[in-house]
Amino acid sequence: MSPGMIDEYIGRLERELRRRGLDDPRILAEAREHLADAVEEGRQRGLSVDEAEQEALERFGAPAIVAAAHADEERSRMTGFSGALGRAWQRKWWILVPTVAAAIATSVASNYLPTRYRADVRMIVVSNAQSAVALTSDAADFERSIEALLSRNLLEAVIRDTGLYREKLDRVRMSDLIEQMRGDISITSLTPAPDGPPWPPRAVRAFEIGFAAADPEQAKQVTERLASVVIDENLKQEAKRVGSATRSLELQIEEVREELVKQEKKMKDLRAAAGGRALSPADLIPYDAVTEQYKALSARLIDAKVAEAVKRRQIGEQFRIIDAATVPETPDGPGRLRVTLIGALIGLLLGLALVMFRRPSSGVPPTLAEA
Amino acid sequence: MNAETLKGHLDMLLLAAVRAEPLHGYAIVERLRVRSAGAFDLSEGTLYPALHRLERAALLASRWSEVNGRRRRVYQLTRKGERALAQRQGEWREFSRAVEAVVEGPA
Repeated sequence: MSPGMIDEYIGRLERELRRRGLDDPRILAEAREHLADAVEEGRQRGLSVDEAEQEALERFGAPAIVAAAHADEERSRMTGFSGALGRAWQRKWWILVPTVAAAIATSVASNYLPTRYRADVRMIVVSNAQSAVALTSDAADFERSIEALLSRNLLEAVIRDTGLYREKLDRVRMSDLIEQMRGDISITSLTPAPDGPPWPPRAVRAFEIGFAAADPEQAKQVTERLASVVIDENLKQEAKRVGSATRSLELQIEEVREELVKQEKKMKDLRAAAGGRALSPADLIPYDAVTEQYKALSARLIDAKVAEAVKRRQIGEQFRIIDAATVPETPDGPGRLRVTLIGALIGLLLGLALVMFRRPSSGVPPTLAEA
Repeated sequence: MNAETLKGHLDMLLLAAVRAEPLHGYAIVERLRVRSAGAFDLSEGTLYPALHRLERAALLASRWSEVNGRRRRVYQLTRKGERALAQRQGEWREFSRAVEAVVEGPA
């Protein structure tokens, strides 16, 4: 007599099921009950315990065949989207554990990230200004045109003047530092919040320049410098643009003046040749024409210069600071929640990959199920 | 009887076995064997995956219950199972009549 025969069978069945990625205690419990019933029935027919157990096991089928039949059902169930969901649910621990572990790990690691502070300067574009920057309608374009004012050379000057990245200056290339700095600079075009007070008004373009640094004092200092660089640079570029109109007028006047000198000399020669006689009107025509042209250009130049002076005054007020930078009191980052969520996401993907690679029934020949 | 032939009709047979009363797995096998006079002979262990599938399809319902002092999983036909069985039965009658007419008919 071997009381272990049924137990041994159940153990083998369990292993065969596991091998196919199945782990359902109900399958084993039902098998055990079934075999017990079969043995009992065999005993009633007068079989010995050994014979009854032997017969029960034979009728039930080899562990591999029974497990394969279960795996087969499972496989046909686990196809398509609901199948994928079911598979994921069946192996939820494979997904949950890496997700939670990665979230905890990144959450802990994020505490070691340096705290960052961001200072902001809020500016408005004065509406009567006629600059290319102010006229750009699209917010993203506007942000880009402000960004374009911050050239490499200017940023390098800011880095040197403010002592920013002092500890990295001799180790890291300047071009890399400038790239990093661009990442720490934020330029945001402001629009009224849908549920907040209507600020800025529609006609007013407002924007913020911000800078994030580990030291709040430095964040403020660099932000102020960046704001003044943006104001100065915009002025310079606009002055160049406005000045070009009078410049071309001045060139034209120069040409006409030379022509005038030539004509005057010609007149002088003619007068000398005439010997005190009055010149004919025909001789006077070219001289008069040049004189008229010169007068007209001079008048236009005066107009242009007046206009330029007016414009220069306007340019002087193109960007106006309405909120100066202050030393930030609360850290701006790192976004610990965001870092943790990213970590959790990575863990989730890892878990899903694990589940996908450990598909149940892998490596089991399907013919076993048909045997 | 050939296992493949049986497999095609296994669902109908299992549903029919529990039509009269709820039964546990071993009793279902017994019923099939007795009613078919031993013609249906397949690995008894492979009936359970089919029972589980029918339960997931809501044609059967099951619960643990105490029978003769032992815990057993008892299967019972659901309303949906009854309808499915009636339909299968109709189809089967039609099919077997047609097969019989052809196979057993006058040459």
